[in-house]
Amino acid sequence: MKNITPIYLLTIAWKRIWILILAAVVFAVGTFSYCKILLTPTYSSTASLIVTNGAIVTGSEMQNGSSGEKVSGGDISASIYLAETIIDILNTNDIYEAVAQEIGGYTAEQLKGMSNIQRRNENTLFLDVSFTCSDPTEAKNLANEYVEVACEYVVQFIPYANAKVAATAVTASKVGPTTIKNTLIAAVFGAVVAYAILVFLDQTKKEIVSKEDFIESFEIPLLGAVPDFEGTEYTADTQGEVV
Amino acid sequence: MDIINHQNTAPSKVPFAVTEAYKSIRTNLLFLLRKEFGNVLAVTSANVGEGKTTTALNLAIAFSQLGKKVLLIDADLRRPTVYQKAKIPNDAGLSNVIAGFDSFETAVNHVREDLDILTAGKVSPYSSELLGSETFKELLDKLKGEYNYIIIDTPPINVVSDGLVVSALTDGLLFVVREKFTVKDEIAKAISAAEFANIKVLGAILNGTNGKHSSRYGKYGYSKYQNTGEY
Repeated sequence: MKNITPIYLLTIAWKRIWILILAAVVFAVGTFSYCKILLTPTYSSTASLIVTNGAIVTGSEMQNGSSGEKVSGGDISASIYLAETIIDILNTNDIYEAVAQEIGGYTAEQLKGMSNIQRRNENTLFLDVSFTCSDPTEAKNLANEYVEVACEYVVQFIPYANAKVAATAVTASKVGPTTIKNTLIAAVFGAVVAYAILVFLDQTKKEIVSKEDFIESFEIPLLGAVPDFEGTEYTADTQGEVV
Repeated sequence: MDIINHQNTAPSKVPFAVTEAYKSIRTNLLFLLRKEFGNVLAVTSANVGEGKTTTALNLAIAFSQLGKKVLLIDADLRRPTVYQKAKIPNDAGLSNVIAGFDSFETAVNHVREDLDILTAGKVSPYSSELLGSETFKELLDKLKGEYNYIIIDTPPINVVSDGLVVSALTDGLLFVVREKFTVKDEIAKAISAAEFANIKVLGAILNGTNGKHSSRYGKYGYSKYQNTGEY
């Protein structure tokens, strides 16, 4: 076994740089082709809910004659805490069962796997509900159906809470596969794997491969190195010609 | 004989880098021998096919090109090849001399002014006994005074014991190793055997390298000489 030093590692990489490049290219091309040809594209569509406690009314409620004058800072804080609780409620199986029954064709577990519910940011009353699937229209419909069912469901659970659809899903954007990212990762992975194999082979190599290898392996002096000379009269036995 | 025609190297056949490599080895050996106060070298290898005989022959030529009187002895009595490479007869040789059938003077080949070659002679099943005999030792002692350098091509150490028997009579041992061919464990085994037998290991010569290292001389303007062998 040779000593593994930074110079040794750099030398291995430099001497076989073409292998590393080849491995990176092969892995990149393979992954690119796989992403483009074999992987089904996925689309994500997002709808939003706004969640408040009973003291806060939405714009539409105000238009219907409700008053927003009583709203205090405490009410807003309570709504923010409430949003966190409602995320937990929205992740229960019951609501997915309800959506599954409404839409049909999916189980609650499947819908749960396709969805992602999160607050837009830390101090907001808005919750974003995203659905991801291979059909952009289906993703949009699922998101919209979910927020409709969720509003009714939240009010049933917490009577003093208001949950309204803040924004319906209008479009669905392509979210997968991330071909360029995957290709770059595969190229790096390919080069790293090839490099690891090169180091392993070099460490386990049994034959003398160079002057440096001999000097590292043995303590006796190396008096000289004679190049292989081809095209001479003794090439048949590869032992070279008399000078 | 061809070997004499190669006195000043054969530019069309032998690359410049090769002749330079042997001259470089010769220089290193001259320094070593000056330090070690000896003039008898054994050239061996761990196993067969590593270029041992070619190296021994080329070293003998390289030394003789200095105007020193050199004797090359083929002590591989089981598979002699020096006579084939040097293209000289092998009717009488070392085995004949040790056995007393021929005298050294009648068996030796004068291939050029400063280079004599004693081929192996008849293949003998008692090679170890012949090489370990007092007669061979006495012959070597006598020849040490007649030649500036004696180079002995021995059988591979890991294959037969003859190599160690002969090397024990010399002032030092040179290992020939072939790149991408010789297994490290085999070299280690051969070196251990030599050291165990109390034989001085002078160093190693690496054969069959890819020659990339010598190409750097092109930067210094020597590349144009590589095809001609001129100085």
